[in-house]
Amino acid sequence: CQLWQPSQELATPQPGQPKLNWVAHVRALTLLQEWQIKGKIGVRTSDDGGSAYIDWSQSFDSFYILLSGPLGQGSTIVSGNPYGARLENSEGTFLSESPEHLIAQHTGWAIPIHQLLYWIKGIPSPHGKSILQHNALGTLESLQQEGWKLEFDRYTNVMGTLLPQRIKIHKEDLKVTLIIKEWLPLASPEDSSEDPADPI
Amino acid sequence: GEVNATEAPKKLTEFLNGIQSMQATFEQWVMDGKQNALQNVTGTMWIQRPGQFRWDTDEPYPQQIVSDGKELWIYDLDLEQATKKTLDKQVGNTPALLLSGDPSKIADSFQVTAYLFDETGEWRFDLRPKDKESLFALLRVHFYHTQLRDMYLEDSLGQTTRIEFKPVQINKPIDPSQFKLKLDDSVDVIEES
Repeated sequence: CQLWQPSQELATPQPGQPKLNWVAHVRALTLLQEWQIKGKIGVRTSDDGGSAYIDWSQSFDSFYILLSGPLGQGSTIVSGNPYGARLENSEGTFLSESPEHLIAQHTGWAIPIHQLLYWIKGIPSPHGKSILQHNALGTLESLQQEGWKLEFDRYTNVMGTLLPQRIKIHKEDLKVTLIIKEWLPLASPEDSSEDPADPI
Repeated sequence: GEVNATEAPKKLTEFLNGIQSMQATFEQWVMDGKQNALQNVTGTMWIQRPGQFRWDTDEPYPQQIVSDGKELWIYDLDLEQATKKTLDKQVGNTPALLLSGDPSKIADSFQVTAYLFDETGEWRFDLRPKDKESLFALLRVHFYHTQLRDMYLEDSLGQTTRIEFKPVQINKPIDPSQFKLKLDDSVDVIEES
C-alpha cells in the first residue's frame, strides 16, 4: 500500500528569515492549480457536529472530494467542474449545478467550496472584499471574507512554498476546522492511479 | 464448507459471547473504489461486555471512539472536537460495536452467512445489514480458533476497510475508567439530541 509520508514538518519563523513577498506568494499559489490534500475536517453548529477524513484532489476547475467517517464508513464523494456537481453516498447519486447546494442538502452544512478552494492554500478568494492579517512568516494569520472569519493556525514547508496545515473557519454558529496532514502535487492521472503502490 | 442459515448467527453469537473482554492493537487500511490507498492507520481497541467499547486511532489521525452501550463519543484530538450521540439501533452504526453489542440482537439487524475453512479451522462470517440505509454493505469477520482475527467492510461506493487485530489480552477484566473519555477544556463538545 502507499508508503506513509512522514508528517510534513512545521514551518516556524527563523530569526532574520526574510518575510515572504505576499503579492508574489498569492500569484504563485493562484497558479498552483493541481494539488491534492489528505486530512480531516470537523464541522459543528450549536447542536450538531461531525468529523470526517477528507481527501481532496483539485485539477484546474474540476475537483474530487471524498469524505469518510471512522472505520472508513459512510463515505460521501462530491465531484464537479464548472458545468455541474455530483454527490454520491449510501443513498445514491445526486446532481446539481452547485456543489454548495448539494453538500448543504445532503450533509446539512453550508460549506463554501468555491472560496475554500483558495482559502485552503492560505490566500483570499479573488471574489469579494477581504480583510487580511499577516503573521511573522508573512503568510495569513487571519482573514475575513463574505461573512466568514478564518484563522490559519499552522503552516508547513511543502512543494516549495508555505501551505496551511490547520484552518479554523467560522460564520454565525457554523464552525469548520480543517486539518491538512499531507499536501501532494496532483500526480498526472497516468502514473499515480495506474500503480497504487507508487509512493507519491 | 458453507454453514446453513439458522446455524450461522448462532455460531457468531457463540464466538462473540466467548469474548467477554478484549484488548487488541489494530492496523487499518482504507481503499477507495478504484483501489487507491486512502488511509493506513494503527491503534488500540478495548471491549468489555456488556456494551463497553473503545477505539483509539494513533497519529497522524488521533481519534478516540468510546461507548458505554447507550451513548457513543467520537473525539477528534487534532480537531479539538468531541461529539456525543445516543446509540439508536442495538448494534449501533459503528460496525466495531458489533464486538461489544448484544450478540442475540445481531440476527435482527443483519443477514448472517458463515463459512468454515475445513483445512485451517478458520470461520468467516458475512453480515449484510437488513436496513438499506446502513452505512456499509458488507461486514466480514474472521475468527481463527475463537480468536477474532480481522474485520473487513465494504460500503455502497465500493470503498473498503480492512482491520487486522493483534490481541493483547482476552477475557481479563478491564478497568471501567478505560471507557471514560478525558477531554481537556479547550475541546468543543457537541451533544446531539
